[in-house]
Amino acid sequence: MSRRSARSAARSATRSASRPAGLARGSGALAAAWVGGALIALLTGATAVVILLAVAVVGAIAAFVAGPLALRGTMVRELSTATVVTEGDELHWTVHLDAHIPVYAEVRLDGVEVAAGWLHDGHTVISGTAPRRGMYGRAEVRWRSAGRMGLLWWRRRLVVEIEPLAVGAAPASTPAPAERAADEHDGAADLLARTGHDDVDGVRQWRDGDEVSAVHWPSTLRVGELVVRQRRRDHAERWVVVARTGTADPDAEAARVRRALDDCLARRAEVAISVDGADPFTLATPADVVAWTARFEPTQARRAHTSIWKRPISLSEVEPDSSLSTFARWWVAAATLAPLAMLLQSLAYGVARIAIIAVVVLVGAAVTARTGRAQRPLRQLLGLLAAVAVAVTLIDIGSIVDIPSAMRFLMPQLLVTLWVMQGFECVDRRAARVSLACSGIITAYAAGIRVDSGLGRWLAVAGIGIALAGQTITRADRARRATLDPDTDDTRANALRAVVTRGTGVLLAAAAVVALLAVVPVPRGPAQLNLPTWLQDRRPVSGAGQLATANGSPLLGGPLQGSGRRTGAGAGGYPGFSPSMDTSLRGNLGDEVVLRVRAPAADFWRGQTFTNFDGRTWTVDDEVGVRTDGPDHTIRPSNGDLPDPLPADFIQTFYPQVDLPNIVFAADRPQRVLLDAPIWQRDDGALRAGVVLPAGSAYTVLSRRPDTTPAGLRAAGDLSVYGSPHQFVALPASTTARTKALALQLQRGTTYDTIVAIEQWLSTHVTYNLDAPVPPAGADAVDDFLFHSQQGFCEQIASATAVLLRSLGIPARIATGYVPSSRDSVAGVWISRASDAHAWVEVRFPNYGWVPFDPTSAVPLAGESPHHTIGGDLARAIITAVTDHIALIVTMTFSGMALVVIVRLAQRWWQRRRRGRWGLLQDRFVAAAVARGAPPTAPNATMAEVFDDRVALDVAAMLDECAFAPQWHDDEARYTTLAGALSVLERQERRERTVSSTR
Amino acid sequence: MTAVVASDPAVARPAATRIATSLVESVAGVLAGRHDQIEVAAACVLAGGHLLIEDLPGVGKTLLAQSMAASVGGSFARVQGTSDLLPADVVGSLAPTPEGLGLHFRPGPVFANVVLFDELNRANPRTQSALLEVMEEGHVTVDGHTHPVPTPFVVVATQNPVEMAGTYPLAEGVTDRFMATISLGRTSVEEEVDVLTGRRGRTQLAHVGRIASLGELAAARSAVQGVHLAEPVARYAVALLHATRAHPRVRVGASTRAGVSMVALARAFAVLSDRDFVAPHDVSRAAECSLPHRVAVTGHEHGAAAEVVAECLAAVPAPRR
Repeated sequence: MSRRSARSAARSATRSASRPAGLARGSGALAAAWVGGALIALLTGATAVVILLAVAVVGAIAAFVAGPLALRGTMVRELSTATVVTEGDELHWTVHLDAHIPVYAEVRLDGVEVAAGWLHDGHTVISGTAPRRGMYGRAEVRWRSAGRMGLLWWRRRLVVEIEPLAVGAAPASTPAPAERAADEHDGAADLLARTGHDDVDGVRQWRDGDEVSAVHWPSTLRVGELVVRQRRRDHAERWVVVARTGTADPDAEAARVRRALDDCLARRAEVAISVDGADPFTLATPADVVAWTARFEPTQARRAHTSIWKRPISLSEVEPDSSLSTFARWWVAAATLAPLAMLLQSLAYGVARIAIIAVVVLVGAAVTARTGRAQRPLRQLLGLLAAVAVAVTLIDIGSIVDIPSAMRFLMPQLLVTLWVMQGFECVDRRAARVSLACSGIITAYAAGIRVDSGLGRWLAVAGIGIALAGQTITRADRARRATLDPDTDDTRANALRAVVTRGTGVLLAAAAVVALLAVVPVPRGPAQLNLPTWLQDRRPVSGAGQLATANGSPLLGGPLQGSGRRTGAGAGGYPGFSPSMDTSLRGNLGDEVVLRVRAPAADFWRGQTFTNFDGRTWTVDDEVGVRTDGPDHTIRPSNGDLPDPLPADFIQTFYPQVDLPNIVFAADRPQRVLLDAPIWQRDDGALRAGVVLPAGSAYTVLSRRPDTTPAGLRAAGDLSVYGSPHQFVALPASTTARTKALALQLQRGTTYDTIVAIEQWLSTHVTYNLDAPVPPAGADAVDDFLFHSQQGFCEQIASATAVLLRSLGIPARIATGYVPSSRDSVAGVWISRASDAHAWVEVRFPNYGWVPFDPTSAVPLAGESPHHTIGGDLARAIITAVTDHIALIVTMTFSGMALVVIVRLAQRWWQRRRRGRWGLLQDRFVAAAVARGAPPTAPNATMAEVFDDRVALDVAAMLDECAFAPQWHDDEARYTTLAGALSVLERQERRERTVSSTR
Repeated sequence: MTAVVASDPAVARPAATRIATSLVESVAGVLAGRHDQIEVAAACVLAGGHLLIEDLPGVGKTLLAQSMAASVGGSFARVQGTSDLLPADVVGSLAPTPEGLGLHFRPGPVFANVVLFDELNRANPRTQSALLEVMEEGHVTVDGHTHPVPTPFVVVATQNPVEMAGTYPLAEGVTDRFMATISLGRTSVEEEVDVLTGRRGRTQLAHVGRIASLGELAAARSAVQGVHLAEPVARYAVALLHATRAHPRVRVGASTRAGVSMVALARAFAVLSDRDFVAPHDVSRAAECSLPHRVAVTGHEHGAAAEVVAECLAAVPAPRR
């Protein structure tokens, strides 16, 4: 049998473009996880989950294009195999593809796969079995890859003309009829053959056609069966095997003929074949026999047609390998740790419990990594035990009372339990991807319920872990490649290029994520069936509807603890949250974050309103209003608000970060409050709960913001012409004439313009100063502020505005609460610090109700609030972070570069130490030769052949000598000679490279 | 004189190189072209191995053997392989003494310094195996008496790989005894013109003189055995052997004896290149001609074994400093 190399004639007509072949095992779980994430996003309205989803979309797009990128430019260079084989025998194919990544190739003949295997570096021998009997002139090569992402597989195919491959029938057990031909050569030989007068070699068993005279009787008697004399000249026998066409099963006929022919050849007889009685023709060698049976009466393969409904679903067969390397298993386990900690931490589990569960996860990884697919029952038992342990650790059924608490606790707990159990079954790629999908879901869950500032970092850690683990799952295919790569400069340059490519890829992906998010608006809030509300612990306040401090004791008026002017009262110690507010007191409020509010836009988070003013102090009355018991409170309109519903829902979830008093903060105008405690709804719009609001709690408010715009406000005209309730226009007796005169001076045609004029006047005449002097005793605080000190803070500015408006007959009051000062664009929450406690003016417009105005804060009118998108917020946050830390970033960049240089120098030094100076020369020689196309494994003398230069051979000889000669000493003159010669070679190599690149 | 030279490696090795190069030049004067193959043949002689030439008739196989015998200056004998050649025809047999009293041993053609066994694969397996003892041990045993063959003793066998009808493929035991296989191949046009005009070829055979005494040749052989083999190079040779054993298309990989004879050949190459030590490319060159006939590959395609060895050479990194 001869083997000839059949170079493929790659013809463009049969070349196919890359097309998707299918998904890797377990991709469905990842898709399901995305859908789950989308549900979580809908349910919680969390920006972070939307960011995760966008990252996943960009990752999916990257996975989509990774395959075509990997297969780009691949082409079959060579496909060769044996030319004559027997059906069912092992058949080796030499495949050479122009691929720089490992691809999975399969060779198909006539639509049947005959060989398949991984091609590392594009060139390999893949083995399979020979197909059914017949002649094959072309083969189809299919090769596929999923790129580095390993999720979506792409395929290319090419039909290649090959040296005709004859696949002969395997011999049957019964031979076809054969008859011994009359020898047509010469009579003497015939006579010799019959009578046996030639050399006798030995004896052998009787075969059909033997002469009786050839029987060797002594042996026959001894053995008990017919034995004949074996003759040297048995090949002079000639047999004609008869083949018949048109039988029911030509394959079986071919097999019988093959058997007969093989038998004849085995006894060194000459064989001929006669088809249907035609003239016989001689077959000389076994290869001829096989080739003949291959050509005999071709048959068509009957392809059983299976109904599409009965075909097995085989989405995953596209991935050729399902094994999970130990390395990847540990990566998958490591990738689960961050989501786990992220979720459990937000559910207020302690470090101890998280550690227990992490240990159980790692035990699962160890068990599966060690036993692999073996010992399934043991793994299942262990998994069950682990699940029980985790359940005991986590689940406290008593705390589950309603849907939101089940969503918050039971669901993630069950999820974590099942996920830990799955870890004990994670032995193949599908299971590993399912595990990663679970990690994704858990990350999304945690991102949905967490609002803290560490969320961004956690998300980054979890996301990078999952992405890397996803890559290591597919990376086992490529492990073998690395073993062949020698440690040369060439591979180091490749590594650098790979780092640059990947870095660019990551930056592009990040840009794509931001761009995608730029069209996604900030979610309006959680779905209505899952409005978050819980109390971290329940501390009822004494009294009914009285203000209470965070520790539950009633507030009796005046500033909180400490009566000093600037003494700090901490969070909640703001005078505006007490029954009476001295306008000249503010208190030293800390910088601590007190509130995180998840809301689509910024607004005033109002806590109290004040109507009564005595010239220095605003007070509220003792009326507590109407009590509702909750947990779902419908809030009635307050005095002066419009009773009819206003346009759009505005959902805010408040997450107190410190213990707050029993004031329920809400954006104007609350419609529903979800809080599992009684609420007293005061007539002035303030809401007071029956419990204090401890840190770690959450409650949700549905507001309907009036769609206020300047035009709408102007349309209301001058409000002073309407009669307003006395309490809203009452002036303190101490109000001075020059205050009223100033008001008249600032009066404009419409109230809105008047307000704008007052704000402008204040902004030009008054300095914002937290250390403003205290007005003298007995003096009107507003008069002192406006005309005397002209310094003050928001309470004084708001009071002055209210008094100026009231003196014109415009209904106005003071509101206190928090303004959002910054936004966490990952968690999508507005952050208020203790120092963000604020006072502002509210003016009652007949067409809107109470409308807030404030010259000192940047909160816009509700109708004008900018349209946020997540991407815009993210980009702004990133730009702010970069501009804020530009010096740090520049320093880091430079020190990073310096570090790289130092590491390089250290590496070079180490290399020199390790390799010695002759070793370095050897490395340079190898690098230059490999760059010119020498095989990296070749000996020096072989490498020297690529240089076309006698010098190269001398260099190689000297290098060999320094490495292998029995006596050799480091000689300075020889070193200099060698280094010089090497430089000549390197120059030559560089010159050629520049020539070829400019060409 | 000879003994003194052999004992001092500093003198013996250059002398061996001189002998080797003059052997190559002497043969090259007769056989047109094929310098590489002549070097392999010369190295084989120096390393004390036997040579198997696989090629078509008429490319100069016999001429190579004859010119080598003439250069070495020893006796030359030739056996033509046929299916009815018997072992006794090759190694010798007992014959009645002329006096008719008892039997005496009549030496066969193997009792020569260079034995050309033409078309070895046409001889029947019995005769092929008769060669085993004499090739490996250097002596012949007939009727219980051992008769040593002269040294140096080189068997140059030829076989025609294309015409397979009526042949007995060489048993693995036999092929393993050959140090190297070469295939002479065709000459270039100019060299063929040289042959036709008589500038080279058989006509020049008469002008070939012995290049060294048999004693000097023996000394050169022992100098070749003393060539230094560094540890990394030895490991390289072993890695090559292992690579042939692990190759997917190989049924039986190269034996340890294959490794021994590969390294011996590599030493001879080193001497030819005027070196005191074996370099990695000596080993790789030796592997190319001494391994292919020793690995059994699946399938019987001609040249498959050489491809396998080439793949192994490409896969095993050569040692360097």
